[in-house]
Amino acid sequence: MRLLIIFFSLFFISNTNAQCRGFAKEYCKKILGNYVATGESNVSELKPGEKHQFMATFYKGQHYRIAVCSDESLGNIQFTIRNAKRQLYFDNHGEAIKNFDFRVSTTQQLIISLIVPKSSTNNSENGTKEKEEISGCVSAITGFRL
Amino acid sequence: MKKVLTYIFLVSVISCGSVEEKKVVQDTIYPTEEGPSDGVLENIYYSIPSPIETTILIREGGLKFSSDLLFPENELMPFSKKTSTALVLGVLSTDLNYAMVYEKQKQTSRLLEEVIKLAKQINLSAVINDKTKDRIDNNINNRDSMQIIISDQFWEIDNMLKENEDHDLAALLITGGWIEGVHIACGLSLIDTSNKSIKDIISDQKIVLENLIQLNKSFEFNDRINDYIISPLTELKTIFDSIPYPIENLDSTSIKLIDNEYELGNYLTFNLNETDLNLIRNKISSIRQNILIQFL
Repeated sequence: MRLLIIFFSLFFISNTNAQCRGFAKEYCKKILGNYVATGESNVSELKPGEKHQFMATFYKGQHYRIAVCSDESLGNIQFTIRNAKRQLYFDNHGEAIKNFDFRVSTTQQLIISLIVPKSSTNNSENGTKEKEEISGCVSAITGFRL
Repeated sequence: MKKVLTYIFLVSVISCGSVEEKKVVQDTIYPTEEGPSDGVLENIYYSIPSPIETTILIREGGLKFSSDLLFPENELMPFSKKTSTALVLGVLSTDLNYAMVYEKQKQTSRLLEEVIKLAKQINLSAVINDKTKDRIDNNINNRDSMQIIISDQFWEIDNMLKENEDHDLAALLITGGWIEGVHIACGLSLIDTSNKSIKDIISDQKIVLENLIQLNKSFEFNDRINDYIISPLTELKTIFDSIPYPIENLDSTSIKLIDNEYELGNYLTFNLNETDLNLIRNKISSIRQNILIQFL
């Protein structure tokens, strides 16, 4: 019985991860436009109210674009950029701004956060509950200009 | 209210012309999302700059190409462990980028073949293969196109490793690439001792290494990787730790709008002295030697 539970748990985990397979490539990379992907992608499966964040190093002298995308079912995600001391540089406040172009005056770490909104706009009878059960892929890609 | 304040802030920056600087202590406008910070960020991922960024910075710093700094040409036998393959693939990927940005066709071609060979061993043939080589060969005289193709391939490699849940291999690929990048930079700092930019590139690795160590903490590697790569990298971090952070204006953020692009942060540079540079150079050389002796 225990083995069966483990088997089904593993099946469920791999299945949920598989949902985001190809997501960054298909939906996010085009937002980079003529910026070249820096070599790493961040993809995560999130539910309403959950957050994906990563810390990246940005070199002085390069021009960067951070491109963000998410499943439509999640609504517009909030996208923030903070420095290592967690002071805010940019916040899209959950509006439909999918990218931010910038450079850094000196090499530094920035924290990029993608937050799925909690609020529900679902009008069905069990709207809130249904919304809570929704999960979808979010991704952020960093690109630099050649 | 928060939104209104943001717009006021952005509009004030934009309306002040293209070079005027505005300094804003953002925390007084926006409280941080998390509670009192203990310096630990939960569930955070760490992202490391790609080798191509470092090699482009090296070229832009006016440094010359040195083939002596490339990883020795070896007959790369199939490795018994995927972790070893990923590590060496990272090393050779940086060499490939280095040769490519300096338009060294012979080395680029040779390294690309080795990278394709190693990629096959960890099931990455779907993203980097003989077709990649054909694309590169067709653009061998167009550096920009080659940079785009190769950057794209490495993004695809990272993406595929993560999609296949091979996060540990992705981390080792990045680690190998970073070690080789620092090795090249340290080697060049000996060749062109008066070049300031190469010292800046090396001292900036203090920040990158912190992220790299955090990234690798997420995984349980085998003893060989721990003993010959992770532990020495932690020792290298102690050397970098002795380079102090500049203290001026660390509590404020600065945003300038220049030519429709935001510039973030303050103008701070690390002061890397010769003693620390020598220690870094020796340590990275020893780590790279470990790769040659223990992993080939």
